[in-house]
Amino acid sequence: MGLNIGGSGIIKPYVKYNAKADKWFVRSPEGGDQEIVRPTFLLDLKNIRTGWLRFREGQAPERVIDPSLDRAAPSPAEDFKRGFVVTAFSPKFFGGAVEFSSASIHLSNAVRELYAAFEEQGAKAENRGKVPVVACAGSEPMKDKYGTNYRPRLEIVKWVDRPGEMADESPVEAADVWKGGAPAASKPAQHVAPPPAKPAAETLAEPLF
Amino acid sequence: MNASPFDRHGIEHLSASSLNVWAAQPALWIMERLLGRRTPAGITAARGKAVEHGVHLGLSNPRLSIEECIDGAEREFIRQTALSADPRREEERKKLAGWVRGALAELRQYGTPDGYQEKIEVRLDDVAVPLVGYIDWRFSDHGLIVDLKTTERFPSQIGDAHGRQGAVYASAHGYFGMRFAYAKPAPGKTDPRQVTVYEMSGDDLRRHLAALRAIALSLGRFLAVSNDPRELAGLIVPDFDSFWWSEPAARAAGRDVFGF
Repeated sequence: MGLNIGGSGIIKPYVKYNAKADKWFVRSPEGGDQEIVRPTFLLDLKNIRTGWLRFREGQAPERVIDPSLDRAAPSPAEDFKRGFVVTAFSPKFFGGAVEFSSASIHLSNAVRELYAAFEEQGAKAENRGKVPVVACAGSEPMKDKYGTNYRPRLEIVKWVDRPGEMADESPVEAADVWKGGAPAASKPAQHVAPPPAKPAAETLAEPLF
Repeated sequence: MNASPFDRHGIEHLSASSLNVWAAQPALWIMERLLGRRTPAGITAARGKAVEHGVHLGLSNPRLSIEECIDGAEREFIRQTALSADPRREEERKKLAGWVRGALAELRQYGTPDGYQEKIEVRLDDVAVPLVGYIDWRFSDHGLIVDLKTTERFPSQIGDAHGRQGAVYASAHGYFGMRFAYAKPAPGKTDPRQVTVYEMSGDDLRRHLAALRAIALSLGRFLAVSNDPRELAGLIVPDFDSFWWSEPAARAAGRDVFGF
């Protein structure tokens, strides 16, 4: 039996969007990034997870995933940013099922809007149980204090049956999900004392004039 | 331009309490908010408003005696329940003094509020109409919003319904803290406290705002099914055993609307 310590050396296949350069990349067979054209792909929004992500140069990404979409984990540290993790699938562009994650504010905003469209369209009878096909139809330059970044234009173009290669499961490991502390609902709250009184303004014994 | 489902039903705004009703008893929400069959506020709501009125008299004028504040609360209660035939009316009236006395003993320590019953409004992502609400008291000196709840027993924590309400109040006030003061009419036999105050954490605020957004989106999707409120009422079944339907007038209206 192997020991469950150390790094496995296995890097999950991924697709990523560089918001600074408006470019898409996948992991090349030799390792490293390989640029691809704007892709069209299946996106497993049903199983998307949100949380706190930290990407640091030359280091494995760190993540603390929210226990659920409506309950955010506490921020682990100042340089973690809110982001998402989701499975994307395209034999043509990605070579199969890959992980798509980011803490870019512009990409996250695009995915948030996409999720709203997913919820709306997914409620229709003809789309139930299906997976949306998403196309990157372009991008918009977004100017902020960091200069110009890009927000991809992501659109649901159709709905298809879930392919066998795309498992209906969480894209994150259970170990990445925040478990610290019990839910607030199960913890008895503590009484908080009234705030200390503010000192009254000093009154003058005699008028100044 | 397509009107939102809320526009199509003449709904200009939502509130935390409205969304709480939708989440807990959709049939009651449809009856009251879509079909306009609102039932008068129950005796518990009347007592809450009356106690709040009496406490506010004492907070806004620190020199006012407790007895004058209790008088104010009783007058407000009589006004609120003038047409009520609820048999609990007199029993509740007798307990008003205890609630006012206990709440004032705690809340006068906060000083004089600089805001009372002020309207606030917040927007939730992707929800076409705003959420509105009215705060109990704002103590800007301390950066706090305080909401008073009358109760017979202390809750062990801020429940979801109150938490959602507090999340709306606090998010409309930037970084203000949000506290709920739970007041009992008398000290307990083993627990001498008459009031306990809980404060919401930042995580609570975010969690409840996310829940409100999810509930509002669900309501929007439901309203989009039809422009006919009667047709929507036909899709939902009420649970008359729930305490939400405890007022006899509500149950009578419910039977009329839902046919059983």
